[in-house]
Amino acid sequence: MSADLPSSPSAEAESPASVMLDRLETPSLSRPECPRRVARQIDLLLLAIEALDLGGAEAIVRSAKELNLESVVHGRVHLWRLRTTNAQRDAHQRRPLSLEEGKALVLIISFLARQLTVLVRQLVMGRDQLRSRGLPLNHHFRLADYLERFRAHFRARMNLNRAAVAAYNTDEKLDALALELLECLLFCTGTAGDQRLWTGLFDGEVA
Amino acid sequence: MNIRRQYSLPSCILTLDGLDTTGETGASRPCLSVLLQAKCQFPMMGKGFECDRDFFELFARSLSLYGQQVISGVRSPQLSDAPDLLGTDEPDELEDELEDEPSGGGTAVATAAEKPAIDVAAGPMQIYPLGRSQHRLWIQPPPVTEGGEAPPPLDLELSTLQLFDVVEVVDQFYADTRTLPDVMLGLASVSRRDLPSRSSMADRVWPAVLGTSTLAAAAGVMFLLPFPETVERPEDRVLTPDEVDQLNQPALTVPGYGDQQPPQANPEPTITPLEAPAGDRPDAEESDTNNSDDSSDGESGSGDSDQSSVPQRTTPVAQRSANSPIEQPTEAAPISGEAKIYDPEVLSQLNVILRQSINAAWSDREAVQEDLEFRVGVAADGKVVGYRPVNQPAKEFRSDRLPLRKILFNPVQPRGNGPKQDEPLALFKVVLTDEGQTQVSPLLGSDGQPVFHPPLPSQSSGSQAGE
Repeated sequence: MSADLPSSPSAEAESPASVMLDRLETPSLSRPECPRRVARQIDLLLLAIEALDLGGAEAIVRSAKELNLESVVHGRVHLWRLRTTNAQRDAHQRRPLSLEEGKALVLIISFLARQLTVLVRQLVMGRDQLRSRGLPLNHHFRLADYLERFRAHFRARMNLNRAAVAAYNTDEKLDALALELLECLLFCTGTAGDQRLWTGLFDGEVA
Repeated sequence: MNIRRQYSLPSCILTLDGLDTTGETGASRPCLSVLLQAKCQFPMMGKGFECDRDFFELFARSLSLYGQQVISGVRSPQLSDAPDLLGTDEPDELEDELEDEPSGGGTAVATAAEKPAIDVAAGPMQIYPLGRSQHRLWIQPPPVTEGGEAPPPLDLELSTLQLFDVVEVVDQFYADTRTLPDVMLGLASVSRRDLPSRSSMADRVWPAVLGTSTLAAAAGVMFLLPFPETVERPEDRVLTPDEVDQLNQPALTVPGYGDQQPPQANPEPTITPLEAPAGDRPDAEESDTNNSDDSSDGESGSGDSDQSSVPQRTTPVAQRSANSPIEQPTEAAPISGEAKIYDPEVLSQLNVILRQSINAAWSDREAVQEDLEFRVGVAADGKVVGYRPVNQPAKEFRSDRLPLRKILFNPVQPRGNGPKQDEPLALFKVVLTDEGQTQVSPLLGSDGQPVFHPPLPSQSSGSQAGE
């Protein structure tokens, strides 16, 4: 799946991470850091990947190595620190997500989404079928599994005292969020998925 | 050589026919640089259309932009406006720009049943969300032959998965560098300026109106307040005893000095030079005090009748500024920073003591060629704690030959032992005449005039007798 990502051996010798990161354009922002909304969305997408894939947490760290992004995302603890830039997290750290780190995480999301293409398509298709027949979402076993895991992850890691998080106080609202993220992941599996995700994250944020 | 490129996904098959005009030879894959015809089919719906390059580029660009809208929820201004439900069924991310609202709650409102009419004038290619996870793609392909009749428009309802396939097909075309290499995937974030305004004009005007009216109301209330009739100059302010107490807590009594020097910075806080111009004179006044009953007479600075009836009461009139010239008696009492003694008996005793001590200390009276006039502050125990020359000869006289200098008491006060400088003082006018005589007379009066105190006319006039 990573075959479409450009990788020139000569440039890799100099700075493998920068070659990968240069695939994504740096947006023109007033401050060179990811806005809070972007950091939040990135973290939620990673959360959705973890809910899709049981070994998602390890896969995220592993894919950082495979994508030669170790210099930006080095290790599990650092990854956790990057994800806690999401202000809705329980363990939120008041530190912005740099653009480089944001790019790396978007590349990882897209990379993992491509690996999960079949599953993501199945779930999206299953949701559409259930909706067209007017059936509840838990009639699709795999979809219900994903939604349940996402709810558990979300409730375990987000600061439920925050108003923005407390608004997701019902299973239905969390399911809607999970399905929205699933659609987003579906578009990440595309040929230009990482670029479109990165560009879309800054919609309404750039000057 | 005709070239055909096909990009195929379950929901969409894109077929491009064209020519290679680059003239490259030996390339493993020829470059389709001129597009003759594009054919797009939607096999699941059994529909399709054919178009030229211009329309195909519009088709591809619109789908790419719409794919970004699905991810971000923000509609690009380059897309034609959706008929009427755009405002209601955009995902909530648009509304919680500050990420403080859930983005899942009521994602889509419209349903597929309420399909609005297409505004044909909005463009030949329209795509917009249609309810939850449904998308409407309306295409009016151009006429196949120039001048011919346009084929009937396509009106497709795509699920998210189908939409993704169409977008992916277009992306694969963009990613193919051997097919129309001059057509690039141009992704760009939607600018903040292009965000649809989410608040009405009334909502935006309301804060400004409220602020302006509040300011006007406040100004009206302020206008009703009376103007102050007299403006008191700050340096002329007479401190109340309570305030003096507070000011005296560190060390200093004179605001003119105390304001400029922090108490701890003054190594000898009880000594305050009486005359600024004569810097070489060690003039000092003692502020040692043992009187703690100084807080009851708040108006004593101006009420003479009160002062006379309250012996040993102090009047802390702290109104001397550092720069007040002593030649102007109206500016302040000569040594006015301290409390005064008004008891006639005490005054007469101090008068005698002062004259005697001056006489005892005055050794070379011939040195005095002109009358020297001083104002002298004497403590209750008769010690001279400060003096100040009044006339010009007194100022020019050598201070080391002055008898006052010899009897001047230099207080040594232990640091930090509380306010000791409110000692009551008696003020005297001392004249050392050119005939070697000493004239001592009480000097009182809060109005700055060197007058004798009313209750003791006889004593003061009597005590003015020279030696």
